Amino acid sequence: MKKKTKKELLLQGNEAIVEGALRAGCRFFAGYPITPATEISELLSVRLPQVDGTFIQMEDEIASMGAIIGASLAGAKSMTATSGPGFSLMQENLGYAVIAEVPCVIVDAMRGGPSTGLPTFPSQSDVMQARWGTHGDHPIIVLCPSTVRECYDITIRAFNMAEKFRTPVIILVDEVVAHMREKISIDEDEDIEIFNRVKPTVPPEWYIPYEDTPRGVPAMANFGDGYRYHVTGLTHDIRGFPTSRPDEIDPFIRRLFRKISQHFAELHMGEFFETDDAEITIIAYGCVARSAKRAARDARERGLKVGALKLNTIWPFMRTPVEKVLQTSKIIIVPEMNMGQISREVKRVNKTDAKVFTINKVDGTIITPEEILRKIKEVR
Amino acid sequence: MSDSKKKKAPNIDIFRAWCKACGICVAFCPAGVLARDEGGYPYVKEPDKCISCGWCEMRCPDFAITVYNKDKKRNFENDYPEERQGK
Amino acid sequence: MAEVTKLIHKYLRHDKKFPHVWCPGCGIGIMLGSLIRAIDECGYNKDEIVLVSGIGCTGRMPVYVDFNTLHTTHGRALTFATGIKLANPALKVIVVMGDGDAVAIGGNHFIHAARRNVDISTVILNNSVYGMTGGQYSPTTPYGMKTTTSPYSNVEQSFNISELAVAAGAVFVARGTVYHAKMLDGLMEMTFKKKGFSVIEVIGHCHTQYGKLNRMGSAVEMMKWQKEHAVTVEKATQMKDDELKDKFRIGVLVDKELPVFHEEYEKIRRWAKEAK
Repeated sequence: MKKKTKKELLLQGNEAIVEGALRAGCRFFAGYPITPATEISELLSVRLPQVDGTFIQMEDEIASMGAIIGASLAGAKSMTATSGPGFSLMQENLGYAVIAEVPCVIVDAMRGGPSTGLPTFPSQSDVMQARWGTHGDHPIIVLCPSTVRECYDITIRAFNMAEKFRTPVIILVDEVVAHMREKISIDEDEDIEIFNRVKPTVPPEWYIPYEDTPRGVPAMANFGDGYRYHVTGLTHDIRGFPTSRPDEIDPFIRRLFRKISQHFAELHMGEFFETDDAEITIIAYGCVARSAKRAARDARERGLKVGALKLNTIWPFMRTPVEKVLQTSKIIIVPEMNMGQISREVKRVNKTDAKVFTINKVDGTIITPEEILRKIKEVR
Repeated sequence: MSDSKKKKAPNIDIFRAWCKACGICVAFCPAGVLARDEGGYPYVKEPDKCISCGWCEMRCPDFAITVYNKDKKRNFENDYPEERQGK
Repeated sequence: MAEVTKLIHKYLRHDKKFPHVWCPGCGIGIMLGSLIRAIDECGYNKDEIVLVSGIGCTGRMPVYVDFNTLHTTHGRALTFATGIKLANPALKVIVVMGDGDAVAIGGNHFIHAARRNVDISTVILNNSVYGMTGGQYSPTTPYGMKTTTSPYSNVEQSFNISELAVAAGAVFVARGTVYHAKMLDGLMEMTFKKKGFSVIEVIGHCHTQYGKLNRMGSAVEMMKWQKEHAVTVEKATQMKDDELKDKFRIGVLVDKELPVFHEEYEKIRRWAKEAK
C-alpha cells in the first residue's frame, strides 16, 4: 500500500511558512530573533539541516539580509524572516537584491509599530514600507496570506516568483495569521509547480548577465558554475559592469519595472466573494479579510447585497480586480489595522462615483466582523 | 656581486597608456636605472645598471612596467635589495 | 620578473577599461598585484574564487579581476561572503575592504565573522581615511591628524585593526604594507591558505586626501614612511618599548587552529538526520 503522503496537521502560520519554504526548495535561512517571527527561525534551525540545508543566526538583520543574498548568488534558494524593526534594518540590502536581481524571500510578520511598538500585538502598518522601504525607484512583489493554508501556498508562490523574476519577494503576514493555528492537509506527492531560476544556455564567454530578454528577466548563473561574472549594487550595464551612461541607465531601470509590470496577471492573487451583485464590497487582506468574508456573509443573511474582495497580492497593487468591484458596487469599505495604507490606493484608482469608506483600527486588536457590519449599516 | 661576463641589459617595458606617472618605480629602483621625464613619466636612463630585481614591477600600482630578464639563470629572490647593497 | 606582469594580465578582465580608477600612486593597485600573485601561487582556479568587496576605494577592486566578483553594500561584504561560503563551501571566498568599510560601519560583522570562524580570507587596506568620499577620518585615523571632518584635528582614539581581529578570535592575523610588496605576497598566500577566518591588514596610503591634509608628501614619501615605521615581528622582539613607540609590527601576528564553521555545521546536519 503506497505510503500515505497526505498529512493532516494542526499548524501555526509561521510553521506553515516553513513547510512551504522547504517544499519550494529553500535550502538557506539567515535570521535574527524577533517577535512575532522567531518561530520561523526556530523551526528552520530544526528542519534545514535535515535536508542538507543551512540555518544561521546572524548578528543582526542587516547581516541576515546580506547572507541570504550571498547564498542565493551561490545557488541556494534562501529566505529570512523578521518583523517591523528588523525589516527596517534590512531595507538597504533589500534594495541591493532588487538592483542585482537576486532571488530571495523576506517574511515580515507585522506587529504594532512604529519602532518597538507592540511586539506581541498585530497590525498591518508595514504595507507602505514593504512598497517603498528601500530607497530609489524599484518594483517589488509583496504577498499576504490570510489563512494557515495560504501561508503554505503563498510561500511556495513567493519562491517561484523570486526565481522566475529574479527579485526579492516579501511575504507580509500579520501577527494574527503568523501565530494562529489551523488544520492544514499537506500532500508530499501533490505535484505543485516548483520554479527554478533559468540558467544561461550559452558558454561562459558569451554570457551577458544582465541582458534584456523578452520577459525582461536575464538568465542567472550561480557563482562557481564557471561564468565568473560581476555583481554590483552600482547601476550597471548589460555585462554587469558599473555604468554612468544615460543611454544604459534608463533602459536598465525601465527593464526592472517592466519585468514585473508585464506580468501583473500572473502575480495577482486574491478572491472575489459574492461581489457580482454586491452594492457594498469590502476590500481587505490578511486576518481582516477573514472578518470581511464573515461580515459579508452575515450581511447577506440580513438581505444586504454585500461582497468581499480579498487581496493576497499587496504589491503590485491589484488595480484591475479593484476597478472591477468599483464598477459593480456603489460603496467600498476598506478595513485595515493601520491608518489607511491600501485604502489610499483604492481611492487613487477609483475613477467611478463609488464612495470609499475606511475602518482604521490602530489599537493592537483585530477588526471583528461585527465592527465591519456596524460600518455597513452606518454607510448604507 | 662581481660579474665578469658582459651581461645583456634586461629589457624594461613601460606601458605608457597605463602609467600614471606616480614616480614610485623611479623612486624605489635600487640601481637608479629609471628617471622621470618632464611629464613625470619613467624612462630607462641607465639600462646596464638594471639588476632585474623586479622592484619596480612589484610596486607599480598600475602594472605598467615589466622587466624581462634576458639571462634566466640569475634569479633574484631577495626581499630588500637595498639593504644587501648596504644603502 | 616579467612573469609577474604576464601573470597579472592573465587574471585581469580584458573587457574592462584600464588603467584602473585609483589615484596615481595609490597602494590599492600594489595590493591587487600582490593578491593576484598570491592567488596564482596558491593554485586556485578562477572559477572557485569569489572576490567580495564593500564600498569605498577598495570596493572597486573586484570588477577588474576575472573571478566570481561581488561588489556589496558599505560594510556588509562579510555578511554576503558568509552566505556564499555556507551555501557552497567549495568556493574560496576572499573579502577586500577598506578600514572604514571593515571596522566602522562593518565592525559588527567583522567581529562576528571572526568569532564564528567562517572560512573566509579578509584583506583590509588600512589607509586611515575615507578616500572615496573625499578624506574624512575613519576609526583608524590617529589622534591629532587632520581630515576633512576633523579640520581642527582628530580627537578620537583609533582602532588597531589587527588587535581587534585577534580579540574577536580570528585564527590567522597578519599585517603587511604596500611598500613591502614581496613580503606582502607571502603573507597574502598564507592568509588564503589558512582554513578559518583569516585577516591580513595591509597598511596603505592616501596621499590624495589624507597625505595632503597632513603634509605627508606624495605616494613615494608615504611609502617611505611605511618602510621607516614598519618592524618585522621577529625584529620587534629584540627592541625595547620606547624604540617601538611609533612603530608597527608587520608579519604574522596570530596563527592558531579552531573548528571551522561550515565543518562544524556538518555535525549539526548529522545530528539533525539522526534525530529525524
